[in-house]
Amino acid sequence: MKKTESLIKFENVKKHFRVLNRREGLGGAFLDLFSRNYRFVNAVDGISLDIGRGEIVGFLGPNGAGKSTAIKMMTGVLHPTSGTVSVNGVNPLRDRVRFVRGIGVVFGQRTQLWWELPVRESFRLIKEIYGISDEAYRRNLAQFEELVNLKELYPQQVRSLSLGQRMLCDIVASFLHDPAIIFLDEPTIGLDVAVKSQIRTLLRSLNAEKKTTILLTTHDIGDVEALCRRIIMIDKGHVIYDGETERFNRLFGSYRTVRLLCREGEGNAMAALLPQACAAFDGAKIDMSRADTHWYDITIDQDKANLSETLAWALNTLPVKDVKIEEISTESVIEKVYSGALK
Amino acid sequence: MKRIAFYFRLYIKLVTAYVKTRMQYRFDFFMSSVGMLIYYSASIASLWVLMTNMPSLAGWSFTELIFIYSFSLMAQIPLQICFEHIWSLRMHVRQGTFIKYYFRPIDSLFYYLSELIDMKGLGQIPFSIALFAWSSHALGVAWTPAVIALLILLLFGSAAVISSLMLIAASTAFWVTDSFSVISFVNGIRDHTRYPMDIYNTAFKFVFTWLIPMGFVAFYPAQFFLRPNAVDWTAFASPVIGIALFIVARLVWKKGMESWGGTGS
Amino acid sequence: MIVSNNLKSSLVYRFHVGFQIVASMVTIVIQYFLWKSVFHANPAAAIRGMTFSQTFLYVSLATAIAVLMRTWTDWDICNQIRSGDIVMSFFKPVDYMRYVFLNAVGTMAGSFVTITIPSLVILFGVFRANLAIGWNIPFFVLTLAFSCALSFLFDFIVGTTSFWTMSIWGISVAKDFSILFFSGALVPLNFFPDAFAAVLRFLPFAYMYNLPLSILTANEANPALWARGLLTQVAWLAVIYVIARVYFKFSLKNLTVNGG
Repeated sequence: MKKTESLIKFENVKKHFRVLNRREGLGGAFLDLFSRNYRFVNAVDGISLDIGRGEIVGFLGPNGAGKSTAIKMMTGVLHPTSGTVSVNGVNPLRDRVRFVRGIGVVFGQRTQLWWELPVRESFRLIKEIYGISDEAYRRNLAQFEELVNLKELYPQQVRSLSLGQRMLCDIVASFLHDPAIIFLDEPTIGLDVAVKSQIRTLLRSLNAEKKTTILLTTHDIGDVEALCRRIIMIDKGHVIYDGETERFNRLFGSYRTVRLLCREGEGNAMAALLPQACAAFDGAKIDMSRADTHWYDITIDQDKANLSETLAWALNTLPVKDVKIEEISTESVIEKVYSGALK
Repeated sequence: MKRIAFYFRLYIKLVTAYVKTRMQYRFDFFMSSVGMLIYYSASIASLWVLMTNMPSLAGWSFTELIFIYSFSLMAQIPLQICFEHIWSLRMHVRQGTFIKYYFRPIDSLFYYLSELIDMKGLGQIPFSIALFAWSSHALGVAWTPAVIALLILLLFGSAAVISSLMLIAASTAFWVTDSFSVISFVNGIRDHTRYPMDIYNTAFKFVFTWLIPMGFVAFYPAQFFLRPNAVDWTAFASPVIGIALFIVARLVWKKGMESWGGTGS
Repeated sequence: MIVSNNLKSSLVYRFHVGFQIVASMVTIVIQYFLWKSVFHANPAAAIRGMTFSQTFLYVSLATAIAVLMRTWTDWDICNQIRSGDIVMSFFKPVDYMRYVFLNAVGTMAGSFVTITIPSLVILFGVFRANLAIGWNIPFFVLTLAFSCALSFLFDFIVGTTSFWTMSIWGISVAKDFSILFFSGALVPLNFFPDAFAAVLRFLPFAYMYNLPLSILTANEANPALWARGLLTQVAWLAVIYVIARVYFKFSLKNLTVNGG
């Protein structure tokens, strides 16, 4: 596949912070008045990446991994301690006002629209601020109206919208000035399934239409599976995975999860016997978290333990009423990667 | 030039939209305006009470002191009405909501300030102008077009001085957890600008002229109108000092934004 | 524990402390020069019964007391009502007014240590203010304590108004400056025209600043007069206390009846 032009480029970027150590207790607080001591935190410790035009990339990682720090460097909010950052071909910090025209930013938790104004007014102000031409404005709004039921939202104050409606308006607003890149920070957090689906469809359509590069920070697997062809995973300030989502799932492709439905009334027996699987089969992991639905999981790596043997053992030893065999879920993959399975 | 026109038009649009949303809060506007007026009246009443005991204070009559006081109030009108959002800066910085101001292609300070207009400050306009008109009339100040033009220039300079000082104080929020004490401190200075600089000894006159430029907000500019024969260059310095301070304030704001970058949120 | 928490948060912010002290100092300095020029003709002589040193001491201490009594209690109550947290306080075994009062005391204690003491050190150390030591001290401390209680009650009343309207800013500011003016904190009551002063001495505000301050700065002891003043102060305290209680109960009932 031909390499498309580089829209977001990091070259060995590092970001260190100086953090104040607060002392404990009343006496400590008193001491703090007179002398401070600091420690250094390496939020981002050598990240390199290269994202091209039109890509939708999922940005994953545990909290505190350095994701938001990296995004802040991409959007011109923070300057790197070392390394080069190039977005839309320029250094984001060079001329903030000019740079910001070429990007859009959407936060899941906070709106960038004017709280007490009707949606339509917010859009008009954005038009004014970005200097969007009348025809581009009309064209874009028409396009958005086709994808989302915007018309009924126009006269409503932003503060009176539901979270889902507000997110849709924020996303639409970020596309108004036709930026080359849009950064989304947890856009579907706290939303119900119907709205999530609407948002994902909206983003897919706009990406297909306008070839806007989308960088999506999320903890929601559904977002990743619906939207992202590529995932970049960050942990402890490093990139631990950068590649296609499909290949990511196949990283642990040898893994299988055996799902067992427990016979009625035998939950205690199941809970007592199930852990023996770990001793019996090398590397087996058990999961009793959905015990109240009577389903119990054993996950094995077929490279280490035999699937038919595991199945046979389970059916013989445990009070099983029904069984399902599944490939490992993206969620479990991510969990594994977070806990260092890629090392 | 075109850029200034752009910002001017944008400001009108932003403010109009904002004011429309405040129309429903009429009671609050009324109560707050009353509160403001009581606050000013307490100051004037104190001065009046004091002056019942003596003909002049440091060589200044009651009317002259009111002239200086009303000059200072007029100079603070832009600060009161257009810069009110700076009081919330420390909250936006602490909670991380300030980050949105990085992302629009307009000047970030402009964007931040445009979000809030202090409606109750509107009452300060007629109040201070009336007070100024009364005292200047009582003192027999001659208002020719040239003098009025100079008045506007001096007011602009004084406004720039006090607004910039408050802005710098508020900007400490980017670095310091509790910037409230800093901004409260400078806010206290606002009240003291009505006193004649003559009361201070040499040392403090220096402090309040050059270190904390209180004198340039009202007293020095007022000299041109009150003592036109004994006036020196300090009467005309406030526009220059105001512009210099404003440049410093903008630099501090810019540095603050670079330093904060969403950390601590 | 409430008191020590507020004390601790006062200590943690050194900028806060430093700037508040500097702010008080600047006000005191300006007051010094202002009153110096009032008395410029004859510094030793008295204007309406007060000399320069008495007046300066009076006014500086008024500033210090004003800072001490600024506990933002009215805003605390307003915020609690706005956020609904006030409902949680009703479930605690402590009476609400007492709970808020203890918080205010904590804030005052913190203020006292971090601001008042340094201010006093500078006032007496640098400015060499003069103070007659005698019976005036205990009387002062007692009347000051009751003044703080009165200040708290006024704050409480303003805070309670939040049950009726969220826009208490105007009311709060009006309260602050009316008290400062009518109590003789901005200008000692002695300087007011006689008729005006006579009326003011009748009102509770005078008992918040003028009473403790005139006791402290008096040159001669006058226990009889002071005791009378103290009794009137306590009487006002009782009256305002009752008003505050009744108003709170009434506002609360109105709220629960009308919903919200």
